[in-house]
Amino acid sequence: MSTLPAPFPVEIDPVNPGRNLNTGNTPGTPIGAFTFGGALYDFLYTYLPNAAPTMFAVECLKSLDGGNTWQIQDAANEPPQAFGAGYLDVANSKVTFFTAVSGIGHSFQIQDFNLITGTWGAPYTGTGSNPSDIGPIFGAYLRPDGTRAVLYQSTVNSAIRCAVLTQANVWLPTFQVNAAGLDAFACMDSTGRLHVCFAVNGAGVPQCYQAINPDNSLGQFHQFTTFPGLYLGTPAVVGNFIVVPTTEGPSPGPPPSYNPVCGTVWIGTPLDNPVWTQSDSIFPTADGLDQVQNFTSAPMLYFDGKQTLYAIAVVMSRQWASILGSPSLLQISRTNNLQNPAIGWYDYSVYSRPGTVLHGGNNESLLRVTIGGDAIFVTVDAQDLNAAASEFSLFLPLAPTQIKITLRGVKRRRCTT
Amino acid sequence: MNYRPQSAYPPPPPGWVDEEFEYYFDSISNPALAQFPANQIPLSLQPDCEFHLRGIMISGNAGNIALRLWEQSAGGHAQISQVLVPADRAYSSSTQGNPPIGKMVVPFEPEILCEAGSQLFIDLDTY
Repeated sequence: MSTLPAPFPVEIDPVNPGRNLNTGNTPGTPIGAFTFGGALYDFLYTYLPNAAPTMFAVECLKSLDGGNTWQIQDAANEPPQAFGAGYLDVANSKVTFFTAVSGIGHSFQIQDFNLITGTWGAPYTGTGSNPSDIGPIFGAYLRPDGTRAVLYQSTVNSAIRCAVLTQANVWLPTFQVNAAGLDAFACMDSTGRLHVCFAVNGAGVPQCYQAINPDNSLGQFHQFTTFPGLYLGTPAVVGNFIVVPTTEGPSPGPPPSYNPVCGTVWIGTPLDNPVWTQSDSIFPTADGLDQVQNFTSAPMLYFDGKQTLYAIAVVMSRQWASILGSPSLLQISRTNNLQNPAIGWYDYSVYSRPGTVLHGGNNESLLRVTIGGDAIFVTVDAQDLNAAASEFSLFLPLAPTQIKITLRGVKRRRCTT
Repeated sequence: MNYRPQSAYPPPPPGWVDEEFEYYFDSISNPALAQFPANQIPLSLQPDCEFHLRGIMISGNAGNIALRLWEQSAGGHAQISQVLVPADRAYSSSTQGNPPIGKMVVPFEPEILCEAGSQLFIDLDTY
């Protein structure tokens, strides 16, 4: 009998606990693992006790053996940060990170990681209106015109703001995206328009969407629900659709408590002024067990740019929820229906580890799925319950060496209208 | 849908609508797929509505794999293919060299009707 290699979760750095996607202070959308020049790269936020000037840093890790082992790159020059977010610039063979030390009076610091030389460049701040109220940095985006848009939360009034850096590294005046927001998740379409989704704490407008046009004017504002306590995740642009993941009750609607049991997506089209509709569950298998499993986070979306939209989420058995060491499951769903990404979802469980809690992406961006060639890369933040405060990142490549069977066709349903 | 049959599939009857759908199975979703030879590994379909199977793609980099498909029928399991067929010969619509085997979808004509909640089965072996 032949046995294919089992998929493996790799603790990216088992020696230094605290190296994780997110320290809990940095809700910036992680880049996720990617391949470049035949190597794998992942960027993690790490916690370094007693380090100066800050305990946190952005670390680049590289693997030359498919993710089995990872090596820290240029640790001496890595960006210190309390908050940070970056983007991959394939055309210029670099990853650019925007970081800041927390607190009023602190501004953006920028550092480029050169993927050719494997080194961090010298930090720079740019000129012009570099803001000085940097709180959590939600995301950084390289637009088609070469400008960079950075979403962050002001330490002055908790507003979500957007700062724009030109190609010549000149900061334009920042502007407000929304007066308040817990977290913001965003994606960019081919025109450079940002589609920002955020949750607002308290009653009123808990789940919202705000477009930022390529000319930095604000586009459509939309309030999804009035239900508090629901999660939003990383959206994706698919064709002329903006797809926003969220969680709901047993069927679309409010959860019975703070235990959403159904992952859905909001679909908006066209991109320049979307009309919104909500899907049914995009995790029908998990939802089929809707009295058993909870979503601990909103799904995070990833479009491979070709034919498949992926969603990943962490779910937990409701029966297990109060048991120490209760396992949580990584659940992946996918749809190939790019003409209507509200339908065609098919999900399955990919990983659980007894005694380990996997962290999702509701308040902190701890979970990322990306596609590299023939494999699905998952980076997820985890914590062993027997070792409190010891968080670490797991790298989980799925399906690089196995049989994959894809059945394509149609589901035939009765018309409902 | 990135496969093309020689003839158009018939439209759904009045009052019905077809939604494009894709099932995906690997050794994560179906651990039995990680070990072979194995017979009649079930590939479960969702229970909400019938599925019209119109194409299949076998991919991965598992080497020389032969397979046989079965469908669920009232009298048991009916073979879709009579013998174990090398995947990179029968279920790849382009010439393949080294793994991964299969890169494109091979259409089924006519389509295979799978009842809601039914199962397909697959035999796996090396050759």
